[in-house]
Amino acid sequence: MTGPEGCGSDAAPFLLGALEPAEARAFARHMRSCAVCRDEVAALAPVLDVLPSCVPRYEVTPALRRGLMHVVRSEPKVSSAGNTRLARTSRLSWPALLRPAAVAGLALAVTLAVVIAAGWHGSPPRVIQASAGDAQLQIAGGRGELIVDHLPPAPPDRVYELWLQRGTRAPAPSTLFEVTSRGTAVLGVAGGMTGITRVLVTVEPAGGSRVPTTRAVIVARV
Amino acid sequence: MALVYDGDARAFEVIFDRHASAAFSLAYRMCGRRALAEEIVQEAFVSLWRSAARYDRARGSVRSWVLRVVHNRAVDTFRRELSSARHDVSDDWIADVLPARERTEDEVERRSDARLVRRALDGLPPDQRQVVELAYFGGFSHAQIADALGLPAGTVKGRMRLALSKLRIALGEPAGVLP
Repeated sequence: MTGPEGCGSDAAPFLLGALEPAEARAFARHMRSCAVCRDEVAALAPVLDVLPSCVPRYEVTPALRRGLMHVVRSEPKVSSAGNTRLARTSRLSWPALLRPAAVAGLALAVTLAVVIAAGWHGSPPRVIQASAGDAQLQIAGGRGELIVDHLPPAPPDRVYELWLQRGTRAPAPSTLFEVTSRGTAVLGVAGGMTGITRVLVTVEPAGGSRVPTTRAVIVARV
Repeated sequence: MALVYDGDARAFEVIFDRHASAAFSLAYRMCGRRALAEEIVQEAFVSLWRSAARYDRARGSVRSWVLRVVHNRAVDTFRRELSSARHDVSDDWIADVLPARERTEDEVERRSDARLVRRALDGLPPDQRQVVELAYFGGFSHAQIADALGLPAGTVKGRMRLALSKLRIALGEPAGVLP
């Protein structure tokens, strides 16, 4: 900020997110005592507010919305100022929440009562803990949703595949998916849950398979 | 936002519905991978839910706040990935980032504000537009851009400053301290 380019030279890269973290922290400290840099940031900041509007618009998937609200609603609601919530979350941050041990604990702790309290629209969902793998199957109004936790990324050239089984018939392929870097995924069961007795997930070659070729990593019996 | 601050999940849902598309679009434009963009958006909104008390109306709209958080998350993700993969920023990476502008043009034309911003970006000299796109949409640091383009860091910073100054004028902001 005070290098050969002169004071204020870091304002634009700061706003564009182009400073390294240590540089950004240093610039933020510098701004507290530098009116030139403060004014420059204030003058340029409105540009950054409108810059995102030039990107093409895409809609989010319902699964993303459901997954997010699932997380949000599993946190306790407070009736007054959010200090209680903030104090709690400062102890249990999102990364901490997603550490393997915490994820396993969370998956076990999310019970039917919690889900009902979360305000699922319509009739309360039925929640089935997977008998193999770290996942829950939630069923409400004939629709199903598999919430996966703590699943490692599929190996290179492999993909996870969701299968739906009816009675003694062979599992039918449903959806190919990948997990987030934190091992989570939220999958809607296409076509509804009528007649389905088992929901499975296997690892398959990229592009998917017509019949399962590996042992299921997740099994939920309806 | 007051309701979100009080922990009202329904109010948060309204905020999400209002801004999720813009947030996801920005994340997707930046990373080009749907799954990663969704992850960035989810993390950003969870962070917003937990830090609603930090929102200061005087410092901008909720939309700006949301998009800033999404942008920061995306940049953090890029840097983490680059660091873990020990990637060097090469011209190939830059070429991968830049063509997205052409892909977007049809959709951009649908919105007048988008058209205005795009016109302002297109009005920049190519070397200035390039550093803005690499930094803001590509998530590259000024040092990475300088390395990739073979320019001094000061030149890159100078182009960024000139670009934002010109955009501010083109977008109708009043003249201020800048030349």
